[in-house]
Amino acid sequence: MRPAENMKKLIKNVPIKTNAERDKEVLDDILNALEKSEKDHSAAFQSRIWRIIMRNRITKLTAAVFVIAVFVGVYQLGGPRAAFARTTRVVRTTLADLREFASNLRERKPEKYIYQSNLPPAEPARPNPDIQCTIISARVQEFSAVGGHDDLLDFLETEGIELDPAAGYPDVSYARLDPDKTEHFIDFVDAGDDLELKSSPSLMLREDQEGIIGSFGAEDQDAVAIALAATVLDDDGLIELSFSFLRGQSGFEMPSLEINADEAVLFRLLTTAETKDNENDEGDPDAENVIFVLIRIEVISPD
Amino acid sequence: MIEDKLLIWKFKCGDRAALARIYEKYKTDLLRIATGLSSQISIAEDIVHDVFVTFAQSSDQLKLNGSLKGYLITCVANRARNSTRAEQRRRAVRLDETGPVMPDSDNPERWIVRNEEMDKLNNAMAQLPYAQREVVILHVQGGMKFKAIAKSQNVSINTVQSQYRYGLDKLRSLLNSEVEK
Repeated sequence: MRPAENMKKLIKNVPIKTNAERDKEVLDDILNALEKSEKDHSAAFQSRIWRIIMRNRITKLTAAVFVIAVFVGVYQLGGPRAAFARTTRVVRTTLADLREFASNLRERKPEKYIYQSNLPPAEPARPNPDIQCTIISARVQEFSAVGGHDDLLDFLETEGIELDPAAGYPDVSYARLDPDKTEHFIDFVDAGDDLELKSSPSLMLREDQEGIIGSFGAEDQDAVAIALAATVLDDDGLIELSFSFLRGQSGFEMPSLEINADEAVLFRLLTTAETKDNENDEGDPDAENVIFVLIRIEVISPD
Repeated sequence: MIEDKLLIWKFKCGDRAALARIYEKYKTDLLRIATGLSSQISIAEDIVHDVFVTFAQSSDQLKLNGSLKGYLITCVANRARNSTRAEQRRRAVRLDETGPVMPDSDNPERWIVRNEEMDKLNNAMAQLPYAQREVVILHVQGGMKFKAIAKSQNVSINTVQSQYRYGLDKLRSLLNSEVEK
């Protein structure tokens, strides 16, 4: 081996051992710092989200990104099973509607209007869900080509999430989550004993707007994986789902999640959708349009 | 890489286990780098401790464009640089009062457990000009590319490469017997 390589090896492999007790003390300091920081910042969180939205509204750059809020009131008459079936139907139908809706977003203007849902007619004595769509803001954001598909598939496989082909859409798969895997997913996301959830679609949206998700570069599908991982229950009774629609040359890929039947009760579905269009790629065949749809379901009645 | 991204995401969601995992994963590398840069174990321990504490406090503002490891190493390097400058200023002010920097004494309560090999290397490192030391450590121990080091130090890549060559040559002459083993 050459002396330079010996030297590098010597520097690189210099042994370092740590004192286990001090290790624990330092880790405690770090965790305490995290806890204190969270307490300090939690109060400012909501106002910060709004400031970001306001800033983007003012900015109004060239190509448009629409952030849509869809409120769906779902009313339950049956027990948890019926509510689960109903909620699943609402989610699926809303997703399908949103896909079509979002695909035409570029032709729409950023103004208030009513979004017509294709939800099935309500059963007798059950009021129709009121669905109203309001475009909150329009802005520009460049987005790189979608890549990292293999990473996403690896992730789904590792996490035990099964993919089901979607009927009528050869390029579309659903990621199915059954109750057992919900447990796994929750464990994956939180890794704690309690299900205290610090994230929300708002947080995802905020991160996205600040470029965190976008800055994943060629592995934008990681954002999908992470969005999927955001499906957890928190101790305030919120079921939160995050979906990302990726619209590329191969069509849509629409990860979707089913809700744990035991948790499905009475919901209000809040859907936030955002599109990102690659307008600056000037004919680049790899250019992709990416649509993020972030969905939040709030449990109105935990009974 | 994807593990780090998920760890970061979970950490940003307030997951303590994710932060603990990041700490476990990178503490040794960071301590090694900090020790080499600062040449004093007590300072190196403070640097890494402070980097992790600041990192923990930044969960809601953290924006990572590159790797987590690279980010943490850069944090350590920045703090070590500041610490070295502060030390140089102190020495300049109290020239008549301050003797040579003495290595830390053995202390069972220290975070880093000292060993002969580490002491030998750190003594040799301490004799390099700081710029050369930083480049050698960041490149060899931190695995950072010259381009990234040049960017973090705001100098040209040629400067970084020269410092690296000079640094390695000087280390070789200081540790001649070790290198020939």
